[in-house]
Amino acid sequence: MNCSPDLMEAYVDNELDASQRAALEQHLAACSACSDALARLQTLQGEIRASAPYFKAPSGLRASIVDTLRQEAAPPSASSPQAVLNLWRGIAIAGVLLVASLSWNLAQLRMKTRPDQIAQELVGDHIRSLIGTHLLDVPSSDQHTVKPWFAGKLDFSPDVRDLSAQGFPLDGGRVEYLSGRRVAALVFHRRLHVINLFIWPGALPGGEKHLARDGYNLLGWSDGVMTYWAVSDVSPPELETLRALYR
Amino acid sequence: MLKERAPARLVSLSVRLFRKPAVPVQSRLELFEETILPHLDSAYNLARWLMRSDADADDVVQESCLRAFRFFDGFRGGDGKAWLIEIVRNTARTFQQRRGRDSAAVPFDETTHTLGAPDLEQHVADRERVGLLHHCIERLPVDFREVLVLRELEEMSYREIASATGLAIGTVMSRLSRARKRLEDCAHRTEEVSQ
Repeated sequence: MNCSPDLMEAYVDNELDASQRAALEQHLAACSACSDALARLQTLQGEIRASAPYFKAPSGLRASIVDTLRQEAAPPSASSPQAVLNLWRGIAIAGVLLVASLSWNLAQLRMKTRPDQIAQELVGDHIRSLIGTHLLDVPSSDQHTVKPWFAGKLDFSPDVRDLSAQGFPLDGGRVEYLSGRRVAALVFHRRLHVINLFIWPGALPGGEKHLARDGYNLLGWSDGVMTYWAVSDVSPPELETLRALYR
Repeated sequence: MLKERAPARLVSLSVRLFRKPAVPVQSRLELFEETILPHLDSAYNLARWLMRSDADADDVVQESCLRAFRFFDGFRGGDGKAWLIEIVRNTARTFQQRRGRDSAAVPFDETTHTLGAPDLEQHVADRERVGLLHHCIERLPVDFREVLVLRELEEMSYREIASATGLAIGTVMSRLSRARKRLEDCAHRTEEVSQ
């Protein structure tokens, strides 16, 4: 076992499970370098908690907030100018939405070709993964944790690699439902950018594809057995670097 | 697939715009007091560490609670603390950006910003009073300070911090680790200077 700083910090932060704790404690007993490093971390943690005050909310704050909220919550009378304004605002929003929805549907009709649909679904999924809390089902940078996690959730086994050394650290993975099937989504990051790599079995008709949608770049390829789609806001050459590492 | 859903969404949105609130106003406030306001201390502690002043922390928390109350219909149960903290964090950022613009407009005046001898003594005394590490934490970049405060003072788990900040767990871990490294360095440096 190597006692990486990450592992030590996860230990002092109570983030290890029982078996990981036990393994580390066994190692600590034999390794003075690691137990020194751990002691330093624990001392620092103790000092931080002792010297950094916890600022409690001042006593009047809660009451003053509740006061403000009570005013905010008071319902405006039905004929007040504010209510009329709100009604018009609602009608205006509904109108804008109607026009937007019609033109969007028309646009959808126009680009009904298959790669476009997939690209749209992929970008949609990528964006949802960033704005929601559902980026990772299995948060781990360890490929040997992520790969087994997919077993039993998918009818295939995706190729999971940690490319930290090449500048694409693995954050983890999740299962997604795309184009009518379950697919694997691996999450890498490149500097501050998130890359979703979607994997499912089958060849990619028409070979490799470069696409751009809504400011995101997509690169699709196939190794004959699996189809891969990388989606991110990094530049196309960086996606190609990822593909090259995956071959 | 999406095409069929869009009109349905439009209908539900218009219905939401026009119907009366489903929850009576009074109980909405009560619900808010029960689920969100118990985390007021956590909200204030984070705001105070991010803004580094009592008055600013007060403003940020007031504004955050008002925003939280306005968006309360979007809160679907779950972790009220993480939800409030996320709003405090965003509000503090907005305040700091606004502040950044204001202070950029005021030219830096050497004479008013140089510490005179009495000020310097006061400064050193203050520093001893609040303690070395406190001084170092306040000087951490805000991205590091926030994860450190959430971990060490709020005792939140990596996952809770990730959900409250919208950061990936890996990012939370690396920021926390760098915050600790910087704190150690800062404490050593300051000790040497004062000896």
